[in-house]
Amino acid sequence: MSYMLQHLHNGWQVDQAILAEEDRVVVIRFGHDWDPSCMVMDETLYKCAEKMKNFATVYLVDITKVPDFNKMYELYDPCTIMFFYRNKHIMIDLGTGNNNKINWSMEDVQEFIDIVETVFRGARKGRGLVVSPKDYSTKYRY
Amino acid sequence: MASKRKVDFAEGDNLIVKGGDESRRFKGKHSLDSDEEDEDTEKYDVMPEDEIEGQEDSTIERDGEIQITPFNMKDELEEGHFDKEGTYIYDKKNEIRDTWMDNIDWVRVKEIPKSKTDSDDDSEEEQINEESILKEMLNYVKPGETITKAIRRLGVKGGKFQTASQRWKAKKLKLEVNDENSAKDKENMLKLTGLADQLMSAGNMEVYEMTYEKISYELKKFEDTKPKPVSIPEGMDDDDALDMFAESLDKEVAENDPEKNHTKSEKNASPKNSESTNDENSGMASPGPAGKPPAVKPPATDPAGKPPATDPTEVMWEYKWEEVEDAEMHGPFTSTQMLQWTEEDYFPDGVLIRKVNTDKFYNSKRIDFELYT
Repeated sequence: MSYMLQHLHNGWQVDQAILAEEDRVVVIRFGHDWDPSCMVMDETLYKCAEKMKNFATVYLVDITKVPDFNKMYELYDPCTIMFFYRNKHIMIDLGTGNNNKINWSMEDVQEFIDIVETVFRGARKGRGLVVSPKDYSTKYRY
Repeated sequence: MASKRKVDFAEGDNLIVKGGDESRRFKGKHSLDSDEEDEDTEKYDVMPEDEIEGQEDSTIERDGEIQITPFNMKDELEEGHFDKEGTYIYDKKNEIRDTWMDNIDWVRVKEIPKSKTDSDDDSEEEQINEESILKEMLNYVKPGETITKAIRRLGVKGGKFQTASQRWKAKKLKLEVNDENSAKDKENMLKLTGLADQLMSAGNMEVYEMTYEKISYELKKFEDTKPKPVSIPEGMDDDDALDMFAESLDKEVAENDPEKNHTKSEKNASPKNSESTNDENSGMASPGPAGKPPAVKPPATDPAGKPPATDPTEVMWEYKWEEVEDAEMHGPFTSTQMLQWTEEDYFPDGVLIRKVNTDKFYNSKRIDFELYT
């Protein structure tokens, strides 16, 4: 399904996607289309994209084809989600200790929409760090 | 002589300045803060002057009237430097930095105009103005339309005709049948723009995004804040009279009824009376310091005791105290209300909360209600 979401094929496109969006959150999935955990995430993203079209836009980036950001954003996980708003990286307190990104794949559509909405509302109020509605620290995950 | 002991300060200064960079343990940065500047030190190293190829020494300064610029970078390097990749960068030594400007919290700036008008003496007058402006606006805006859209609708005179030739054709056909109509539209448009502008300058920066529904909601709010025609006894302020259980009002009536011609002293005593009942109420309703959840829902702040008028754009919440299927649901409440309660610490251990019309519960401790107001 992931081909329904827009891919970005080089660093310039990624930069432009982040820069050009004036009033929506830019959600970028870094990973590989063939990766099982990315497939799960892409499925969720695909379901969300339409519902969040008023406040967020979703792009996919292949970290092998576009390695430009791997070092800067420390993209070592099979699937990473990052949020940007007006060219600013927005951090989220997920309870995991890593506030920079979501580095697992999420299956729950509503949960993900709620996170993006929180990011959007926070970013619009000038926050650089928002708190995700759910705590994803391991004590709740297992 | 003093001249013998002269110290060269300039040289001393140079010694201190050098060698800051080499002592750093970490070359790259090791965190990923979003507000951190991305200065990759390796990439932006200064290129030494002798790596610039093909430079020549200066020859003569001028040849008669013509000034000769030597083919080298000496002048440029005084004002800036090249990085490793050959990009010329101006040294921003002389740029004026203003600490006052740096300290401005731009997020806050937007909020200031409102509070400013509040504290002004003529705030009452301003409010009345705003109300009448909003009322007038309603005449021009259609339901479901924002002010911007209304302006656009009224503004495009025969907007269907895109090219000049099409417009010309249409003109020939209809011979200005529409003219009267469009002139009226234009007038309306100008009026609406003027009204919106007035609100804008009064500090409401979101006027143009306001929808018809939002305007009517704002108007309704104005009406609600107005003193009720329901007789509020003299010497009593609205808050007391309209307290949650309207107890004081009843009391007042009861007091007044038996003897209709009461003396002045009694009249003065009544506000005190009502005040005390008011205190009792609030004491009763707020949860104890032990943090035990209130058995009933937290007190409604709406003075009239009726559900507050709802902003169609505002997010509503409902919550339950326990994580069981059939726990009692409370709500819906506005975000403003929830924010107030969390700030007053009504939910010391958090409650399970969800937005109305969704089914995912979250812990209220992790929700920042301020974002939704």
